[in-house]
Amino acid sequence: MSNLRDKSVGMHEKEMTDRLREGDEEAFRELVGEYQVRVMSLCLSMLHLREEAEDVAQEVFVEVYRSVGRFRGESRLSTWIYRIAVNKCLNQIRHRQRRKWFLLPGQLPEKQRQEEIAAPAGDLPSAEIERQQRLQRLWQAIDALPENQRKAFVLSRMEDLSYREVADIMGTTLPAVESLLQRARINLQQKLWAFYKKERS
Amino acid sequence: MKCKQCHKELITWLEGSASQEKREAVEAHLAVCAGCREFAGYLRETLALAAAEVKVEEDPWFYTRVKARLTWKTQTTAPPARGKSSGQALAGLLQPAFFTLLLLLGIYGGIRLGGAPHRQNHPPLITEAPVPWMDEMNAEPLETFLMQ
Repeated sequence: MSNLRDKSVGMHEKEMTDRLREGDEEAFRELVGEYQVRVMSLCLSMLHLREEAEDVAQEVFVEVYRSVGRFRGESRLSTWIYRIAVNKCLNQIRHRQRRKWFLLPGQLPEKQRQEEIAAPAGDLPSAEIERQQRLQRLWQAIDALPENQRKAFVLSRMEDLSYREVADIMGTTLPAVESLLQRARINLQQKLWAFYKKERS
Repeated sequence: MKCKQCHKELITWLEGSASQEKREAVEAHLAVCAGCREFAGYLRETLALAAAEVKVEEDPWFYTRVKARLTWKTQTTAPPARGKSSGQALAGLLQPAFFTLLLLLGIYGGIRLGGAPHRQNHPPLITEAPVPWMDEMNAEPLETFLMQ
């Protein structure tokens, strides 16, 4: 059954790729419609800032449109799109880290976000403040992961991806992905345990 | 299973990716350890928050924005050569030229410093002849010493 489904997905992707190569705008519109939510969700998981994620997600589709001629069909179209999205996100993260040197501390977008959460917001209920603080700590813990562990962890949480597909996107093997995930989870757990103990005390 | 070991498996267990053996071990430990149960609850809530935060609704205007960006990029990446503006091309030349000049100046400065002549008005450090009794070869030539 899954073979049949894979086959029909494969045919659909091949047809879409052929149409995209011919410059069919309607095909591009369909592609954006089909992958918009997944790409945006992935970008948000990696970047945590909505405006940045939106910006990068748009760049992903621009890149797809421009590079579809070079897509040889050796992997699935979805794998290729996710790969572009992951690379764009990582480039954005590196750009953000380089930019840190040239911005004043108060101008960093993530610092501004932290201050927004930490500031005694009169209108926000304390539960909402606590929720945002907890999220912020999780993002910090994920951001502290080594690059490959971060990729593996974020991709593994995408609902439509199996570990095998994560391995295809990362260009590695299934055992490597499982090992990366195990280490990522242990690292995350350790960081979150430290936050948890601090909260409790 | 001890608490530390249980903690390591918690996220895997919460995501439903633990093997049957590990799942049973974690669940057995959580049944008796209130501390780990509480931490598991904390992790579950935090991960659920993250999952909710990255949920995205389809945006009907997203395609319009992508198309506008694509059009803008197509219009702004017309030649000059290599797709760079003249300002960027100039900056690309000036930067290596500046560093090359800096390097050459450093090398030249080093050569000049190394070849600088001694100053004449600095007295030499040793002004006196060695004390005779230290100069053994002159005090007692080797031939005299051997003949004795």
